[in-house]
Amino acid sequence: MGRRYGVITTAFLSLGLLAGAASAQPLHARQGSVLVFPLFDSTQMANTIISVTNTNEDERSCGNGLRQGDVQVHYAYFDGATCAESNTDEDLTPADTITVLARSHNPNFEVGYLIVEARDPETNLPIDYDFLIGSAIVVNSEFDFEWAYTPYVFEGFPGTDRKMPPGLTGAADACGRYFLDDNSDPADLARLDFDGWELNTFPDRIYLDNFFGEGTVTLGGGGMVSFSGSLALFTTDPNNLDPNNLDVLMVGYNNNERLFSRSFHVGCHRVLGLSEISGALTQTGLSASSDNGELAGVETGWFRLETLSPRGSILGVYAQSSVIGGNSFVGGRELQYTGSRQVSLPRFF
Amino acid sequence: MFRSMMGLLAGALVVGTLVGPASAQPIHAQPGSVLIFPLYNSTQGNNTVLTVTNLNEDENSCGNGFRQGDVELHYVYYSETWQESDTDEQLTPADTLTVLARGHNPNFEMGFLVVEARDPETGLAIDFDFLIGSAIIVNSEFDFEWAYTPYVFEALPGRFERGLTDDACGRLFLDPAGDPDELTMDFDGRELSAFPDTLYLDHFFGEGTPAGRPAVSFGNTLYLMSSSPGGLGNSTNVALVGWNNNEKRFSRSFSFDCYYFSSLGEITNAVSQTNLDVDSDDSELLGVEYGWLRLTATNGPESGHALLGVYTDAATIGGDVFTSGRELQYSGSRSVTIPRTF
Repeated sequence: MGRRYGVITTAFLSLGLLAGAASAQPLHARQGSVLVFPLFDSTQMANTIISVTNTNEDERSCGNGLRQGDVQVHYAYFDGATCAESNTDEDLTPADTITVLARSHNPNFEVGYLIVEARDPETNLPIDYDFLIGSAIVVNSEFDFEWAYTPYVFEGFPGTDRKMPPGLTGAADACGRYFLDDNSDPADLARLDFDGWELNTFPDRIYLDNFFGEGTVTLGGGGMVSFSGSLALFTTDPNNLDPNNLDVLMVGYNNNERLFSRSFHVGCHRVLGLSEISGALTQTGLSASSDNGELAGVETGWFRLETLSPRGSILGVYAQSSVIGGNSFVGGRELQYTGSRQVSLPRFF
Repeated sequence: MFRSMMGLLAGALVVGTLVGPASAQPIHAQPGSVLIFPLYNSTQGNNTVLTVTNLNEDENSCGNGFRQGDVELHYVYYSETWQESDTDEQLTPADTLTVLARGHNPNFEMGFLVVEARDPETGLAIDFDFLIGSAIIVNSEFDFEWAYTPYVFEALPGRFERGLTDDACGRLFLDPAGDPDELTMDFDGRELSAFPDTLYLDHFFGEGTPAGRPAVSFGNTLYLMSSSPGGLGNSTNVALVGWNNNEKRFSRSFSFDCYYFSSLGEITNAVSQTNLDVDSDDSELLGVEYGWLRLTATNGPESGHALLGVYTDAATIGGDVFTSGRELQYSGSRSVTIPRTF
């Protein structure tokens, strides 16, 4: 493994909506050129195991000392509180895998989101390399697992027949992998374009298919269960850095289709409990006009989220916790999604 | 909720491969008409919280007493030996239903679950790409262990609609009325998205205690379902190819019928801390050995055998067990069929 390291602080990121054809949504549980992890946590008493695997096993020489399956993986960690960025590179050989603990890989004791991008090891420029898969395990310190999720995946040149964006000439690295950008255009190089041309678009809406209302429930047998939920979200619109900006809309239903909604603030990235969003997400709030005959009287629901800014999009993951007899239990997963929005995010070198 | 329950013993179901273009892969974390959960566990000391949510919020009347967003869900629970139990649930627009597998299928089994969207009036399969879901593995009820999201199959992903009719709400039936094809769910890229060709586990910890962390012991469980019931010389044959973190390759073949679960170490000793350590990169991850692997059914692309699966890690530290799990990743596509029950 080779590695270089840099830290860049960016209070305001240059983002925008791109014009053009937006079709392909992000993928999940598949291979791509860019992986987006909506949560890493390396604050005190927390850590995250991040894995990235190169499924390209091709060891044929490219004639420049590199092989078809060699790739540089660029990690950009974004601090949720400030959107400050720290980046580092790892060189993966064919069929290579690397697992890191976020706290040591990005030693800034932050919580936020991570973008991993495939690059040509020779020039360090982004390439179409749809061979990366990955996963994240949220832990307390090192290997005391809490829950896991797989990242959102974005293919290079995902459009119909994998056509390149207008203006690209098909320039490729020594291994024949196409560059994602016009390398003579600094503005193009300075951003990841999730526009359906360069990379898959971001989703339009994201969904949590099920949550247990926050609060304590007495079960039929007399036992008590206390539920809580933790939602990690990030948005792509820098305008939402205004702390008074209500930038995300939640529309939800209880298990008897009773509708509720709430707007709230996320900004760059935020981890928040369900009851911080709305009292409707509690056992009490959900019980109004609910179907108590389902699931032993435990109140459940679902909701969808979308950014209120047409220039933004949102991704996230969710962890569901319960406390029974003083013991804590947790299970987590990625959020589901529909639709597509063209967004861009800054690229750092 | 309306509900009916029937149990079937189907030891020798007709399963085969369709000829034709298999293009569309399953999707993940998006809505579809069929959800496949590779694991439910309602055996003694285990249970599974299963959720299916209907994203269609449309309350417009279809003129037959149903609304655009009304849908019947057909749950088919397959045991480890392909014994099948099914039940139906009626979901209204924007409805969600969470069940405990042990109560929903009271046969105390483990295996895989197929959930299909159907027209509530006729009970026939329809194009209704509005279903999402999740599974939480628990010990008894709400003591969560780990969670995953199901594999999702869109209806008519290639939009081959010739000869198909629709229900009173205008949703296309997946098969021509009265056609024998109604008896099979065709994951062929036409009726439904195809199954994947290759599964990937992007990361696993070597089993056992690492030299660098003597207080930790790693274990795991791999759960695989086959699209074929197997048996009678028709087992699903699997090739496992893996690598340690320094690209040292290993492989192992194994076979199973219908459903398989075991630790990776029961498949091959190459996945232990000791054996992954050979030619490994000890500078990574505090000296803890790890790797990745891919799994492919080797029966051939037209054999009717394809795989789906989930995986869970476990770490034992000071007598406490910590678990996390996730779905397997995938690439490629295979055409397979699974019997449709009514």
